[in-house]
Amino acid sequence: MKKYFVLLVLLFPAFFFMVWIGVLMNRVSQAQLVEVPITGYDPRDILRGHYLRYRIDSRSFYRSDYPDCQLPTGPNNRYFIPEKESAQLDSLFRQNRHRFSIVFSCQKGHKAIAKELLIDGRDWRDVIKEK
Amino acid sequence: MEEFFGVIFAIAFIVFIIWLIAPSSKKKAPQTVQELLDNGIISWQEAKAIQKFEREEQIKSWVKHKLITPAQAAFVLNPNKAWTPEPQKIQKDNIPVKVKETTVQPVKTFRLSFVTAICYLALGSILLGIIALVAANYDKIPPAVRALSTLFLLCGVSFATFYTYVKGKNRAKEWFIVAGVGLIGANIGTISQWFQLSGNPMNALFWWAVLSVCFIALSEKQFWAHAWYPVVALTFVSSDYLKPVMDFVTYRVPSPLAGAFGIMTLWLIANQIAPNHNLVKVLKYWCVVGVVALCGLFDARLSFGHEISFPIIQKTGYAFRCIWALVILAAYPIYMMRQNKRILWGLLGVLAVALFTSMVQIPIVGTLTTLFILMMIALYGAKQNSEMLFNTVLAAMFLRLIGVHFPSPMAGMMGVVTLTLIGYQMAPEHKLHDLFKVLPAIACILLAIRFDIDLTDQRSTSFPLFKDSTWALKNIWALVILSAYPIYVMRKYKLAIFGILGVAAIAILASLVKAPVLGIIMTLFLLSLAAAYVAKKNDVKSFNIMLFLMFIRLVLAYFHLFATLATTGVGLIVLGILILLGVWFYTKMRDRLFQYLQHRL
Repeated sequence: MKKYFVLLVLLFPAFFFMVWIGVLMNRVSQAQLVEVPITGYDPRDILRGHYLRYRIDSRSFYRSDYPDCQLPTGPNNRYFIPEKESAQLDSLFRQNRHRFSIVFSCQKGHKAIAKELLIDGRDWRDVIKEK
Repeated sequence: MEEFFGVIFAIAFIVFIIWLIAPSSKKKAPQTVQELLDNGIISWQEAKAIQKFEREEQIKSWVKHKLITPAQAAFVLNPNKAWTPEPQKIQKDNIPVKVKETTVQPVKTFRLSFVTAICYLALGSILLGIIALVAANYDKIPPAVRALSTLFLLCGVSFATFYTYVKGKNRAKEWFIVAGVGLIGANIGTISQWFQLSGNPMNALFWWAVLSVCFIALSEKQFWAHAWYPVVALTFVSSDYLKPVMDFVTYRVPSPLAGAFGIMTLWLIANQIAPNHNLVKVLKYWCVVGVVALCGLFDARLSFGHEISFPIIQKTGYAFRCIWALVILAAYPIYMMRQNKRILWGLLGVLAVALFTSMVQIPIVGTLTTLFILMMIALYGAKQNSEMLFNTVLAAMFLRLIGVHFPSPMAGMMGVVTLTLIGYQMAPEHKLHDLFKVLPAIACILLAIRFDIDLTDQRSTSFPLFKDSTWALKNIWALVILSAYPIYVMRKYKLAIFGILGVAAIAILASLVKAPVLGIIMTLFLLSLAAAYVAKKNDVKSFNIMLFLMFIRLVLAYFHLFATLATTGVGLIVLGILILLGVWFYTKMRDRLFQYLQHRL
């Protein structure tokens, strides 16, 4: 009997991850989408390795407009990006001619999940391909 | 509140896992003296008496079987007596009786061997490298596929671990446990990438600690338990999930001493659930580390003038705190009185100091608490005949005393070296002369660590010779040490002069060029000197420890030098392979290297 308990215990992490993925997928699919403008955490150093460090641009976005959306509050938030494209993204950001924003999926009572990175309202991959 | 319940659930889950997988202690009665000792059935004195009895009986049987003479037996039993060889007994056929080479097995204690530790580190490095490569290089694969593939891999490893567990293939099981623990980290990483979960990295570490216990609890190696507890301690301090608990301990139960009692309570509960489990056995050591750290915090808070209050005395939340304190105070003696009166005395001492502090808040009480706790550990070391523990704890007590009277830690360390030199000159043959050697070594290494940290953080080095403020005073200190040390060591060790000159050269260079690599060189230089010194003393264990510390510093340096994930991944794998090759080379060449150092120095 004990050995089946051991099997259950060993499978628990995998089960936990499955449930976690399910919960996150459910949350993303059912949530309200909010596009939020972002700016660099440190304008000289927006990209670090494989992720982009950002903060919400409070000059052009009012959190009070979306009271149910728990957006990240800290200055140093991260969005994962492929390392290869990071240099191009960095140069685009430095040009200061493009509007960077992130689409968050918001659900009441839960932290907002970053879904997509947009440049001038378009998927960042498409913009980079064109350049 | 939700997070608080989450934490309670996590702790309950860990306890449940340990209970579930705990070896059935009731079925298996302790067999050896060590097992009796570990289970608290006998005390150290009784264990030693049993050993002595066994040894005497064994030697009597050797005499009975004419393997050794009665004079040899008397010498073995009491080596302090002068050896008086007997005329060799000649057998009838004029052939001397051959004495078999037999040894008495001492009580075994757990020690992580150097080579094993390095191998584990190398494998850990390779595993981390693979994870880093996987995370960095398969951008083209959709994140969902990445996450699901690592998840299925984890399922496979879970089944493989179960299979090896059932079949009793322990070695393979340990390898699958390594893979499982690594894959839990990989899964957290890939899911975070998939759903863009950013935030405190310590939260990920928290989930790793909670989930990996499912694998670690099955391991028969204490290594995992020793690696797991520091991670748990780290998440306790830094993760968001455990922040409510930390806030609770820090603010609502304001004294860190309450935390110390909490740790002890955890140990007591775990010990009742599964006394034979590795995680519980190892928890004992980490509890001691935790209690000493918390007492140090208590001491530091008092020294810096913070208010300390013991829960019973606090008026706010009186009832709750009283229950908390009473549970601990009731559980402690019930458990301890059975086994070890000394710990009961320790508890009463800490309690008395805490109560006294709540009434009279003076810094010296904090110092007394630290000294009291350290003294208990020193007594424990003395009972166990562990000179190393005894000397190290005495050195720590000495450092704390020096810290009371000297304004900066730097001056304190230098004071230690000076006092040590004086002490050694006054009583070179005293039993404590080992302590005199340990103290300057600890002071020098702490000084080097400070120097190293300063340079790594690119702060100005506070090496006294080059500091502008209060230059004269600090210079005098430095000069006293730099002159006293060679005077002391010239008579005995050329190595130490070389050391002083080396340290001075690196320090001068660092004052001119503030490069972090000089800090690393300083640490490695002092550690290599220490390694050479212990090699000369024929102390293999300390030699291994020094090499291990040098390796750790190199690994830390590595993490500072490489930035991107892909290069770090490749670098970690290459580093792991190099280390394994190095270990292979070391095991082949160790004896020769050791003999060379002994011959040369």
